[in-house]
Amino acid sequence: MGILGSLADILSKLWNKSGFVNGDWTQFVMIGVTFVLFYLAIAKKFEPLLLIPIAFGMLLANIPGAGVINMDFYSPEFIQELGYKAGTAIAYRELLSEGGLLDFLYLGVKLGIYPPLIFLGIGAMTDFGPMLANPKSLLLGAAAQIGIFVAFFGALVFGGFTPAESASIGIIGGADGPTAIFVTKTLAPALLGPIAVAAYSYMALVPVIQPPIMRLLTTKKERSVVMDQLRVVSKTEKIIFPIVVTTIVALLIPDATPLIGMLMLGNLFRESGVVDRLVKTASNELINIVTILLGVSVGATAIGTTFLRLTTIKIILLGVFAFIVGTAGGVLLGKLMYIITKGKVNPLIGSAGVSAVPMAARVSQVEGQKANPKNFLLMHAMGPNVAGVIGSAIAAGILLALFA
Amino acid sequence: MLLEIATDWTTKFETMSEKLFLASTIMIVGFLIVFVILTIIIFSIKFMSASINFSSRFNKSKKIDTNLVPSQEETLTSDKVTVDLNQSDISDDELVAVLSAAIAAFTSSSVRTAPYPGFKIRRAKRIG
Repeated sequence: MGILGSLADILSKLWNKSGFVNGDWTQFVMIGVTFVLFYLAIAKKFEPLLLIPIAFGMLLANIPGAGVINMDFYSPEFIQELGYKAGTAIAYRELLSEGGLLDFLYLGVKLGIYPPLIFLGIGAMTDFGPMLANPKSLLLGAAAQIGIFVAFFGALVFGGFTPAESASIGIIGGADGPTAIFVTKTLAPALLGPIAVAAYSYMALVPVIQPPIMRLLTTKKERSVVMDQLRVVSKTEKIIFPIVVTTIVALLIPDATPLIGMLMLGNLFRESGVVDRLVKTASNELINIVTILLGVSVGATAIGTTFLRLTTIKIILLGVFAFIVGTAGGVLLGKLMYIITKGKVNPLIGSAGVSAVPMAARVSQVEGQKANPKNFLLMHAMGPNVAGVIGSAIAAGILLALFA
Repeated sequence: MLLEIATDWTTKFETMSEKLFLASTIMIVGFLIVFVILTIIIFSIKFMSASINFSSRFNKSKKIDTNLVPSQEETLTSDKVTVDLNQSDISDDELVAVLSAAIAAFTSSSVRTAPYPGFKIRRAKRIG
């Protein structure tokens, strides 16, 4: 009896400490959400590079009693209670003494390290040649950023969000995950989980969301336009471009410097042709490592109590609205350019101004070929596509300058 | 009063019109700033392209004007090209001509390919 009693005691203690007993319904719902995200990422291949780490971070953070992350270390109220100086963003002492793995990994998000490093890798992989060959495509990249500001307007006026939260929600319209995270971690860290999931989900849904808008706003004749071949861009232009852009943008909008600077540094590595090792590292190992760390730590912020609220549904709806408006903005300016150039510009390339590189450019290519099988719009659409990356980083800098 | 609200973004708006005014101002101004900056970049790109094209055209015209016959000093005496020739059915002169063209293309000295590539193969050794 004694042994059986002890055994029962032990099992009872273990059971009482298990997640099944200590969890609340929000955590179990979130675990279910992560299963859906795994399905979308693996079976449907929706941005698996990011959705898998995000979903797994979410799973780890919502296991009852696991304690893999403690967002109190970053909570202003908690930090104030501990007696830190006003404006301190992180409870460093407690983090160092009590923090777990994801608490430390999250520092890369909180301190704004991961998104610029991802931009370094993106810059090392990006060819700005199509944009340099046709600089007017920068205007299409600019037009597509209207989604950011219209969503900001909607969130502030109708959504009941503060200006800083509205800016974080609006940036989803830039269709750029690292930019969305970079802005949100400063302006609305409590919304980081839903905004990150929304931003990366919409990036994956580009081929689903964009085509109906493109077809609605253009005629078959416009979609069939075959554009002239792009001129050859010299190596010297490609080398000078990142230096010039960094200087201009950083001087005008210093808050955009981390993103634009790292994007252009990566591009300079690539175009200089003298640092192959750095290019290989930036575009492979570095970006992959940072993607894992960023995804897992951002996913871990999506805890049931903060994720399963009406706010999340509003963010998701405003995010898709931002995306739709951004796509429409790019296509409409494309139509205007079609009229001004007397039919030389295919309006479909305007939709590529949302910075989901290269998916948005591929969508323009596919839609163009549906209207005219002889049409090859990919390289023409890459111009606005990469311009959109610059445009969304500039928009992020403007919002940070206003609200941070 | 609107300026006071504008300087403190966390202030609760008292009326919908205040909210609308600030939201629309930020929306329009922010979007215009993105447009302006990207337009500045467009002009910078055009200026940069024009300068580079002008400079390369100027350099090319300078090179074409110079005497194409190389003097002894112009021969790259330090750049001796030793080539192992494995094929016996091609004449040495033909082979040297092919090698000269290939090296000239690689070193981008194409302006001086006709009739002199700007370097001279001083020695070629046939093996086998």
